[in-house]
Amino acid sequence: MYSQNFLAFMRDRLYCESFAAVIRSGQRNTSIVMIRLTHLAKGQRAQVTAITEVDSALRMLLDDIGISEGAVISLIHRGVGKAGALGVQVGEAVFAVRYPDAQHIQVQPL
Amino acid sequence: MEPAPWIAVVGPPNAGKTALFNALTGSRQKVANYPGVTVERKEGIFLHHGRQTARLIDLPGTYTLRSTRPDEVITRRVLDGDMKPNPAAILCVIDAANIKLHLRLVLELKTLGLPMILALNMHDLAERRGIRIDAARLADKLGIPVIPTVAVRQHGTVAIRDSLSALAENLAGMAVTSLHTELPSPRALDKEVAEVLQAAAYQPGMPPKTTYAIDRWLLHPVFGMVFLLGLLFVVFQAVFAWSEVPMDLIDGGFASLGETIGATLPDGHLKSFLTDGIIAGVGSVVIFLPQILILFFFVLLLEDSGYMARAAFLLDGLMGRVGLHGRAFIPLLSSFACAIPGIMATRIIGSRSDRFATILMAPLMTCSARIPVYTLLIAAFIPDRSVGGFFNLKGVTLFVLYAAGVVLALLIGFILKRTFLKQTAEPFLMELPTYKLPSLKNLGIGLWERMKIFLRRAGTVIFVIMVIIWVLSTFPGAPEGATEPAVSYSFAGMIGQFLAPVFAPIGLGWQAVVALIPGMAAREVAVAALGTVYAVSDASEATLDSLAQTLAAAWTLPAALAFLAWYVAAPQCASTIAVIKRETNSWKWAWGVLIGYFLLAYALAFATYRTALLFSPIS
Repeated sequence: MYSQNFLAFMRDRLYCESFAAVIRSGQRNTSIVMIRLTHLAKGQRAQVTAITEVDSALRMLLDDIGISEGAVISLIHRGVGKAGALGVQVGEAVFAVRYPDAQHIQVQPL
Repeated sequence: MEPAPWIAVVGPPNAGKTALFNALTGSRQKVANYPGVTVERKEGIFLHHGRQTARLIDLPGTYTLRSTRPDEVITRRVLDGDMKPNPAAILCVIDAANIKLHLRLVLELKTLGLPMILALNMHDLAERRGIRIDAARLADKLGIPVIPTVAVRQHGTVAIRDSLSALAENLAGMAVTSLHTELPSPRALDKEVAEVLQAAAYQPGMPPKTTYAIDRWLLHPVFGMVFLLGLLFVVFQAVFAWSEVPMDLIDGGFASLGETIGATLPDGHLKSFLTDGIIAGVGSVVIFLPQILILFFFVLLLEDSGYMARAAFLLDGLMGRVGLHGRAFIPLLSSFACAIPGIMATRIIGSRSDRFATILMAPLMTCSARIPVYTLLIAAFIPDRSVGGFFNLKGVTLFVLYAAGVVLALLIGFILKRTFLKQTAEPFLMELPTYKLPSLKNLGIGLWERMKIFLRRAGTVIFVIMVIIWVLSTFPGAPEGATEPAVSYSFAGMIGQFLAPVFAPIGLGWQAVVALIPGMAAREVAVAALGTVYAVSDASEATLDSLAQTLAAAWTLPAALAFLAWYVAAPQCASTIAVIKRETNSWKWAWGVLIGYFLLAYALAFATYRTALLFSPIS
């Protein structure tokens, strides 16, 4: 359990650091930057690049509301606390996505 | 004459499906459960020019027919004819402002091959946001009638009525069934949606600015929580305080009825059965009606306005630690007033495992019926002393009892979600709909339905249990020249004395155990039962003081604390058990709560009694 949490933590750090490095270096091409949806800033738009390590039920649910690879989404609300739900705009609708579910969604900020 | 055909009302959540269903059927509705499951089945009769034309069934809202969620699976099974009733046609209701997402469901429904009418609901809001859809071209492309509607204001409902009526007439005598076709993939659907939207000259509009502006405050981590807590406080107060007058009126009404009937009958078992059994039994159920209606008024208001989803959003992180989602908070909060409306309010939770966990947590929240017992024992045993210069020891004791209930409930929820209810855990996504003004008609119909469900479902089972408890407390009756109160000679008394050795390790004498048996009817009945057992004739306000003095003399402090601890967890409420059975559709869960919580109460009382003995000068 601890090792899994540690791996997830390290992976998050790597995503964040690579994203920060790209910003620091002023690169215009951000195509290589992929972060978890949970790390997207409030108000920021992003394109879904991958949905990882999820069971079929969650993938199907995400598909049903239009969160799939290639979809453009915006993070418009953050819930209470570190692990609060996220308010994600998909097309004309806004959906609450639980924090643990949002961790499986990789996005590329636009 | 052939029965009117069934038409299924289908649509995604928050598209106004139920509002349109209400507009078409009015109060001619019936709510039941689908066989074998706890998902609500809502059906209604559709009249056109005063004649029954069709029967409508409001199916659970879903974004897709591929869904695996238990309630949404029912939609597919009914449409496929695998579950009754078998609809011969579909009335699909979608939100015009969300057409891009909702069209996927329309296209899936089309593959079933059933005749269909599409209601493009809330088109006024879509137009206000600048969203453009050519309904006629959309109808051409889809090959079905498309009618713009505003269900809450009855706009477009005449056209829907005419179309439904024509459709129902065409269906007469025809055997139409689903084609059971395989559904297209999401990618294929997306492509088709794009084509349909292009054909319908669709133009996207502006985001819902008002909703966004309101949400900036109401979903703010600080202001949003303050607002929510304030709102919950109002709801809690309303359920608790506003219901007092109607509850007193109902109580008084049943008491007068009992007295009137009692005065006309000679003393005996018939009089006792009618007054103490039937009238008191029915009264003890109906008395909860004001609390239930007030609670559901707020629940429906919050649902209809779109705020309920926001409350769930804000509380999701907190409830997520237990393994539940935000919506579980509302039923748990209302269980502070009474577990029965709380358990019924779990219907707002979609996930079965979350709903069942919440149902099982609800009886542990400190309901108002525990207060008379707490008040009596605190008055009798807890000294009127200040704690830390700020607090009163009696108040602190009451707070500890409330907190113990909450902690136990959270602990039970935590354990359940990791054991018995783990397998059915499912991911959760929830739409945050735009804010809307609630419709009074929908509120009225919703309250009427809740009232019918409560009185019909809970009333029948609870009534039977009350009669059983009356029989146990009345027979075989006191012998000639009896010196003890009559209840001591009853089956309840015998059971109490038989069980006394079991309760001895937690410090409770047979008198306390006897009081617990009629106390199964309702927790507060234990106070009256204690009054009877200790020969305090009437446990009214005036005599409560003397009962407290009697108990203070007869019981030890550790025994009183053990009794309080017992009451924190014990399922001393037959009505709650009956409602759990009804809502879970299973005796297994009801028995589980009954046995499990009695064991928990025993363990808690034992630990309290033994710990108190260690610190008590009297042993």
